[in-house]
Amino acid sequence: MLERITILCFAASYGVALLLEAMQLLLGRSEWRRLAALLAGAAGLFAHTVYVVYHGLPMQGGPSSLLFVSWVLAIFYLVGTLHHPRLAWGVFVLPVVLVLVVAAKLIIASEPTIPPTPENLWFWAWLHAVLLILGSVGLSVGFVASVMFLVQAWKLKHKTPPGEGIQLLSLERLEVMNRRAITWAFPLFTAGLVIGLALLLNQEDFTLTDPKVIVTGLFWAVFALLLYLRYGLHIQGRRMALGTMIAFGIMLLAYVVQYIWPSAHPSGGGP
Amino acid sequence: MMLIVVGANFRTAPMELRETLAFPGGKLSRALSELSARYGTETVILDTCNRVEIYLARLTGEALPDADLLAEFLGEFHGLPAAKVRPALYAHRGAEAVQHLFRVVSSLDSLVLGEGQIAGQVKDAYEKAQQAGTVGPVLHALFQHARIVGKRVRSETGIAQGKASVSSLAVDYLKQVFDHFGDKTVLVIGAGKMGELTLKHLKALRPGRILVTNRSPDKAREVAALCNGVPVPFEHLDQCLVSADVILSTTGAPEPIVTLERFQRLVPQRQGRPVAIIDIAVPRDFDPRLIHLDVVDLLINIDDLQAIREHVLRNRVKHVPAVEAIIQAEQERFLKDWSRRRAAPAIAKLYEQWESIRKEVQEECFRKLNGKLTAEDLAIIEGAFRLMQNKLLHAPLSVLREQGHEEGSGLLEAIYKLFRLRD
Repeated sequence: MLERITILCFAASYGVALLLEAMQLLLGRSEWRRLAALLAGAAGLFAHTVYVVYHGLPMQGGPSSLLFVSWVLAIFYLVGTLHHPRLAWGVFVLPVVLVLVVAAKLIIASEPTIPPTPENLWFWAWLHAVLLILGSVGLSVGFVASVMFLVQAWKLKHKTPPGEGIQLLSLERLEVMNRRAITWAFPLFTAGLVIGLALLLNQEDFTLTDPKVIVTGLFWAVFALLLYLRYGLHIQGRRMALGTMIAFGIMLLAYVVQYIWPSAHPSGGGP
Repeated sequence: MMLIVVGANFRTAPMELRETLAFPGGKLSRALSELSARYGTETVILDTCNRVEIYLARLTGEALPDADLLAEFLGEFHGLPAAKVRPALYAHRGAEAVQHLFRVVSSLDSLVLGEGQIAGQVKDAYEKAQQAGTVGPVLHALFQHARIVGKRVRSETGIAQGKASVSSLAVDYLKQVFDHFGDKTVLVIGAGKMGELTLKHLKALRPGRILVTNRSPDKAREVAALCNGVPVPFEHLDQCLVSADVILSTTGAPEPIVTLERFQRLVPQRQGRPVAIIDIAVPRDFDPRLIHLDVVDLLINIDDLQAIREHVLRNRVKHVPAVEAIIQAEQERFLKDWSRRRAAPAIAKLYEQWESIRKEVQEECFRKLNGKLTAEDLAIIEGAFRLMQNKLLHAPLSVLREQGHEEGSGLLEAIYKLFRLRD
């Protein structure tokens, strides 16, 4: 029974929830649509949870990491929607969830053979994966907060009357959400990458020109620059939001790069 | 039900006359007592800045005083000739008076459509009359029902959607920029009248610090005293612009006092902290190009706020038919309920009278047939008597319940007389 739950099941549920949330914006708010969206989202999360538990994620390779990150974001969607019923939470979180799920599905279709991790290094490989996944969740939350921030900032710059259009949290709250998310994510990423680098150095075919290593290094540099801009140069607001979005894009690229270019990386937990 | 409302509002009376007709302080309870004593009525006075209305009611008896008599009362009470008061008065009786109060409480009769204060003012008027002991069963039922109408209208229609006051709109904008204000600095530039109300709203947000600056130090001190702020010399405006998170500007300066170049020079000192500017000065105090700066999250001026206010009011007009439908339905419901309530004693008495007649006749019958009938036979006969009583009463009771409230029908009085219910 449980094996019959596929990625398509929860992707479809999230899709329906997103459609209903979008209708809330286009056709005006209605309580039944809100409840229907919540039900669809909850059904998707249930199926997603069963899938995650049944397949023993997130330790089964790159696609499973994306599915695990999207699972955490789906929880973030449901909790946020229940907590802020008047805000257009789902319109921002669900597309990210869907993109991650679809990316995972595409990767699974072209998954390279995963070389087994030597038994004595298993713990470090596990820690490497977990740290990167947690960092990815943080950056994904930062990305969602940044998109919301830019929409809210646009609304205010264009003097949209309060109460009209998409309802969002205040700029200050969104900025804090983004700042906290990336501040937590960076050390987790850094620790995960250091462990990953140490593991790679043990591999005989490892080279610094490996595309996975290059993109991950670039991602880390962009992320570090982002934090320097925030805390060193006190850059805030729009520029910070754009920086987070760029970092998120590179993170996604780091996830999928080994499926585009051949890599010596054993398709672990994340970038 | 005998009910009349006589009043003057912003449509029928100029501000000066409304001010004269108002009942401030102790005058209200004195007027309530005098009206009740003079006309033997239940009395409620609704006194707001846009209207003065007197509601008089009585269960039965003589006709209620009309607008002419109440003009005399108002003139006498406020020291004005009645002839000056009378043209400004309107009057509604019975069902029309019910409808009028429901329109008032729904804000359909307000200067600003959909404004929220009127429901509280109606409640207040009722409570003050209750304290003065001038509320009886009619006005109690009417004002309680008005409260329900006000709630229904606000929750079921969009008549109160959006903010229609410039100052509360400004605060709503600020809440989209900042989440909390306890750690924020508010800078007030100038001391314009327009800014007073907005400043009051800002103060309610409990900002960490309020700085007040003005070309006139005395005025700065005056405004600062009003809002527990700190007066700052006008020469220190640049420092204030650097430290402020929220700026409220209301000067009467003929040209912008903060140009793009001036503010741009200060931006590096702000260390990226965002600022929200409410410029309600005419002409504007802040260069509108400031909105293109990254640190300026919000720059809104009086024209923007007025335009939004008009937009909100235009939207509210769309909900008027829905409000009218609620008022119509509630008016009918109130009158039906009232009629039932009013007819209830007559119905009870009529039923009691017929019940006692039935028992009398039935007992006489049983007495004559004593010993000849079984318990079952007695039950059948008693049931037949009861059925006949109910069938005979059905038509008059139904008519009483449905039409008893209609003024002038005299139906209730006729029932009392026909069946000698008062004996």
